[in-house]
This record gives sequence, C-alpha cells and structure tokens, in this order.
Amino acid sequence: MKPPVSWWWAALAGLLTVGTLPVVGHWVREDGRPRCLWDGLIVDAAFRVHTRDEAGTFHEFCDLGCARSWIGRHPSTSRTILVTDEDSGEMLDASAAFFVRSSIVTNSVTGNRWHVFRNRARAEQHARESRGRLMVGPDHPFPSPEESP
Amino acid sequence: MIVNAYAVLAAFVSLLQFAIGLLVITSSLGHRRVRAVTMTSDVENRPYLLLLLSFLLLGLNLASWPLLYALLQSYVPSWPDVMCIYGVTRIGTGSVGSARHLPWLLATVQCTKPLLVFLGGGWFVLYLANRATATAALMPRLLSGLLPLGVVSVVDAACVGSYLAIPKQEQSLSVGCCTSAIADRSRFLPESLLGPGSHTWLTVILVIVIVGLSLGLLAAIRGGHHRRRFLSGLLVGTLVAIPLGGLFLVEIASPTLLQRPHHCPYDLVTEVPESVLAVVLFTLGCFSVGWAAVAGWLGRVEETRSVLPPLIGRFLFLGLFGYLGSMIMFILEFSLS
Repeated sequence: MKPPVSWWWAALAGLLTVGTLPVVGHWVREDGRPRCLWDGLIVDAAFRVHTRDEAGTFHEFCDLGCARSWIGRHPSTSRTILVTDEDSGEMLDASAAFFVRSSIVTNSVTGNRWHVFRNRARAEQHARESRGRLMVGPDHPFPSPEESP
Repeated sequence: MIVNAYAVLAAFVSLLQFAIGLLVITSSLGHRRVRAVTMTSDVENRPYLLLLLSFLLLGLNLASWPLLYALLQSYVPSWPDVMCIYGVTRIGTGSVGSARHLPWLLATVQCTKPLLVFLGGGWFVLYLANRATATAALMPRLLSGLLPLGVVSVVDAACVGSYLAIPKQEQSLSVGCCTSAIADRSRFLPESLLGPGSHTWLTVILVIVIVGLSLGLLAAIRGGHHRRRFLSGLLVGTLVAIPLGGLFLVEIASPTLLQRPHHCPYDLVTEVPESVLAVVLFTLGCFSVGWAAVAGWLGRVEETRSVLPPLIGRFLFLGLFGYLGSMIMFILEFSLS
C-alpha cells in the first residue's frame, strides 16, 4: 500500500511545525539573565560565585553551595574562585574572604546557609547574631590542597 | 501521604483503572469459560460491553501516564533538598519504614505506564483489523488480548494507590542531629550512567540506528513490504533504538539542553518543555512499529488479507513521522543550545 500524496504533504507540514517548536522555545526562554551552572537558577548578584580555570573558562554559580558541588565534581589544582561580599556586593578572591555557616538561609530552593564577608569582624558578628560558625581551616569551603582532609 | 489536587486526581483514576481492570479480567475469563460450553445470546452480547469497558480502560491508561509525572512534579516542593522529579523518585531510599517501598513502587509504575499504552495500542490495532471483517474473525484474539491489559492495569493501579497511600516520611536507623545515611543530599543528584568518553559512540550508533530504521520504514511504506520477516527486522531495530534512545536522553540530551552537568531527563519537563514532544515522537515511532508488527503477526487471518496492508502501512507511516520528527527536534535543540 502506497500512501496517498496528501499524507506526505500532511507529514511535511507536521514536521515543519514540529521543527519550529525548538526555535520558538529558545526564543521564549532567552531572557539574557545569567543562570547558575549547577542548578539553573537565576543568579542573585548578592551571593554569586565565579570560577576561572587554567584554560580561562569562566563559570558562574548562584551561591557557594552550588559552586562547591560543581568544584567537587571537577577537581582542578589551579583555579581562581571569586566570591561576593554580602555587605558591599563586591567580588573578592575566596582565599581572602571569611565564610560563615549560619541559620540564615539565603535561597529557599537551594537551602544555602553559607555567608561571605570581606571583614573578619563582620563575619564573627554575623556568626554570633545568627547562631553560626566561622568556617576556617579544614572547614573552609574551598580548602587549599594541604588543608584538605 | 501528601494530598494535593494531582494526588486526588491520580487516586481517582487509579481507582477506576483498578475497578475496570478487574471487570475486564473477570469478563475475559468468563467469556473463555462459557464459550466452551455453549453460545447463548448473553455470551454474544457480552463482548460489546467488554469492548466499551476496554476503550474506557485504554483512555484511563493513556491519561494516567502524564498524570503520574504531573503528580511527581507537584511533590517536588515537599522536601527541601529535592529539586526535581528525580529527587522525588529517590525519596525512601535507605529508609527503614514503609517509605522504603516508595522507590521500587515508582520504578514499577514508570515501567507499567508505557507498557499499558503499548498493550492498549496493540489491542486497538487488532480492533481496527477486526472491525473491517464481516464475521468478526479476530474477536477471540481481541478478547484474549484484554487479559494481559487488565492484569497490567490492575498491577499499575495497585502500585500507584500504594505509592499515594504510603507516608512520605523517611526513617533512618541512625537518627542523629548531623549525620545519617538518608541525609546525604548527593542521592538526589542524577549521575551519569556511562561516564565521560562514551558520548561520541553513543550518538553515532543511535544516529545510524534511527537513520537505518527511517530508511527501512520508507522502503516498507513505498514498496509495500509488509511481510513478517521485514516487520521483524524493523521491530529488532526498534528494540535496539529504545535503550539507546533512553541512554542518549540521560547522557547527552539532558546536560546539553539544560546547559548543566545534570543527567536528569525529568528537568526537561519544566525547563525545555518542547523537548518532551521530541521524546513523545520517539516513543510514538517505536510504538507504531510495534503496533504494525502486532497487526502483522496477530491480525493475519483469511478475512484480513486485504485489510492488513493499508493498516500496517498507516502505522509504519506514523512510525516514520515519529522518528523523523524527534530527530529534527533534537538536531535543532542541539544546534540552538
């Protein structure tokens, strides 16, 4: 049985319709806002984390938890990690920042409780006020290779 | 037990599936028993009720498939660590309470749903062939085919009902404040099944299989090759394509389309919804070849000799459309990502 010509035309029209859907979908979703590489959430500038590896590849994450999860799966000895100071919103190198894990959740979806400060006194104040703890030494979110357990 | 609109709807549909499935099973068995003794008007009339019930069951089975995923998606906000349907499917892993049954119940249901749609479609193909005959020559096969459909429907409904009824609270043997086996967040993250390095050959093999199947289908449609041997070849190709397609979806399509290192096809439902249509088209392609094979094998009697070729041709055409449509969609999605 050979199908009539009208079937082929109908199938062609169907395939063309189906082919337009990915284009329309991408056009609708294209909002230009940066998204987290780990979970796809829209990145909040107050908690963003950037990494740049030795090849120069740049990655952006919505919070420290996502960055740690991704780095855990992509270990590299030489990588620059920039974190955001919660007070000023400025980015600084992770090795120069102070990290606190407190009861304050920054993102209800990811449940992130990491807080980043440029100033040690400010970090300790946040830890006191929010039932948190300053994470140093082996508790540091991005420990250097010699500090890693 | 988490009660929301989807849970209530799923429970209602499952209840109907269970009741109608049982009716279909008992009627189907009853028909066999009575037929051996005598043919009465009751027995002659019973198939019509049975066919109507079967159509209702087919509709319920079809509707319950997307409903399952809508239900699982609605459960996502119920746990703080769960971010997608994959996480919901992992709830209960490592638990010691009744929640430990949740993962295997969901795994069973995720297998029975497509099986029900395939069985229902196969039965419907036989029904179409039977309807074109003057003496309903395929009616005994049609009634026999209801038995597996009813059994799988009842099993599926029982599993969904149990899943809905079991409390979704995990209990661990080591209930400490900080450490416990089930507090491990990583279990909610879908892992790669094959590991890096396997993507190229997987893509190449899948493309070869799909292109081969499409060419085979085209040859079958244009040349009218509806012999069993040819259909068997297409069916074998489809059986190879199904696991390859599943692996491709998890290993390559999901991370690429989501632009994240996530091997989670469930995320596509909410984030790249049009790709679900590509998956549906691929499933349609696979199922259509299977249904054509069912018609070719089980529908072949003297009276259907003239009916079968156009019927098989239609399903092969549908299969070709499904494969080509899914391939076009995925190629476009990949090129745009």
